[in-house]
Amino acid sequence: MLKNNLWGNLFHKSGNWQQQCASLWAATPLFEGIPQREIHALVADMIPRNYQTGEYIFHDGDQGAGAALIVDGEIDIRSGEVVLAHLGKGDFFGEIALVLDVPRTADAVAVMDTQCIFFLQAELDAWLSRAPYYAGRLSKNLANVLAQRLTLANKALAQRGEGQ
Amino acid sequence: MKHPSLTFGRVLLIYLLIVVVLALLLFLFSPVLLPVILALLLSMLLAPLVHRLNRAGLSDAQAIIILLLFLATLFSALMYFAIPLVLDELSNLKSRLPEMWLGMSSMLEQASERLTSTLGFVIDLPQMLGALVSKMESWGTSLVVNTAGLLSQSLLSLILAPLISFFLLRDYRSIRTRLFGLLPNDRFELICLLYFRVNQQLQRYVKGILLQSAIIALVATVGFYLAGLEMAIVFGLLTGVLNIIPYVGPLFAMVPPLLLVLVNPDFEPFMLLSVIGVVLAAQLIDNLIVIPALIANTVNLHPLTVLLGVIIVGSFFGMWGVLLAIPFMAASKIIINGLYLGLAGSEKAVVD
Repeated sequence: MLKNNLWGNLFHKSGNWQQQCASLWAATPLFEGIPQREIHALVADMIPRNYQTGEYIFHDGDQGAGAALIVDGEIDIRSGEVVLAHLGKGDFFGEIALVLDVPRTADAVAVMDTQCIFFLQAELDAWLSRAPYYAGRLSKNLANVLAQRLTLANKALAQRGEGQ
Repeated sequence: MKHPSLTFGRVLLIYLLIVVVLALLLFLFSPVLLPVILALLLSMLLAPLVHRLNRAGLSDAQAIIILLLFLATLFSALMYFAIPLVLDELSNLKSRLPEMWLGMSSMLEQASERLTSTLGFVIDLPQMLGALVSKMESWGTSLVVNTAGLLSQSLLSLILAPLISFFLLRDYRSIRTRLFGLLPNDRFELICLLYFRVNQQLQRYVKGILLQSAIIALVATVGFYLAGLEMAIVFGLLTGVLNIIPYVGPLFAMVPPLLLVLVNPDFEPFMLLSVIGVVLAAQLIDNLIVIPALIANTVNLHPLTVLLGVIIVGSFFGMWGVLLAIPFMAASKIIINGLYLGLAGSEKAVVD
């Protein structure tokens, strides 16, 4: 069972916890080639959230503020009743909101008690002006991730077309 | 599955709640409003430099202390040279005020005599405008006295502001992150978005206005000085400060130097034209170069909204109202739009 939200959110950001989050982000393709100290500094400004089983992290159509990384637990990405993806510890989602002010395109639901950490678009923008080299690197990584997902989506559409 | 939609009435209720909380905060902080606002400005301007020093290997506290010490030294040096000049000009203005009002009265008498001789019946302008002139005299005197008093009161602010800005620069981000942590899960992204949008727009507006005032003050001071006007620094600074008030500020700024020229016993028409020319030139530079480059995109408000808003808010809350009306309206627009579109679950959901 997760701690009470209020006190949990206030006091659970210990040094070890930050270190764990920084390591998890570093292992994602988003932060490939970015030094650990940069990631650690960014994690200090990221926002941790706790979700209970069945709780929505965001809804389809909500305004997104940034991407989230699963620190503990599991979630489903759903479109209506269809499960598009099942994600676990170390996975990230909602990354479109890092670059575009568009509504979320699917629901994200915690399937067990889950802990996430949010990397907000505003923080990425601020990082771009502070450290353009590394933030530019992350933007390139993000473009790669989005291009790969677009390619996969195109292939899935093509296969569905062939099946019909 | 989408968030349940919110009615406009509910959005308005939430907005009014935010306004009430802000008003309460303003009321609570009213005894230290000036140092707090100065500290916020200082923090906003120093934050990028702190980050730069951070990247050079200094800790937050070291970077902030170095910057504040540098700023204090620069400010002291500036004050060492500027304060005697400004006080000298202010005391000069104060001593000349009776003469100026006397000059104005005699000017009115002369105009009255001319009108009487031209029209053939008696028009007693001094009597008609006497109340207004005496009121203006008391306003003028109290303005000068208050300005001098304000300078001494500002000393407290000058000590408090750097202290507050030290803690703001060092702890603001961690406090903000913790406060975000207290938001409910289902609304936290929207509230973060609104916060960052309002914050970004206000910062851009305030930076633009500060730079605009500095440019106009510099242009006006140099212009008045070259035109040979007395107290060029005081009038130049006044033009820069009053320029913050939209539309009517520049007109107010023109009044004191024009009065000084008009009531001068050795009235020079060239000086009158020069003063008008300097203020118009400053306005031209402001409207053609400074506003398009610095201000135009910072607040997306209709000119009529700005004009009416400044007058209405100003009539309720005085000078603070006039200064804060535009940022308040700009922030309100973002919050209401965001709450209506965001909490309602996007435009698509509203259509649904």
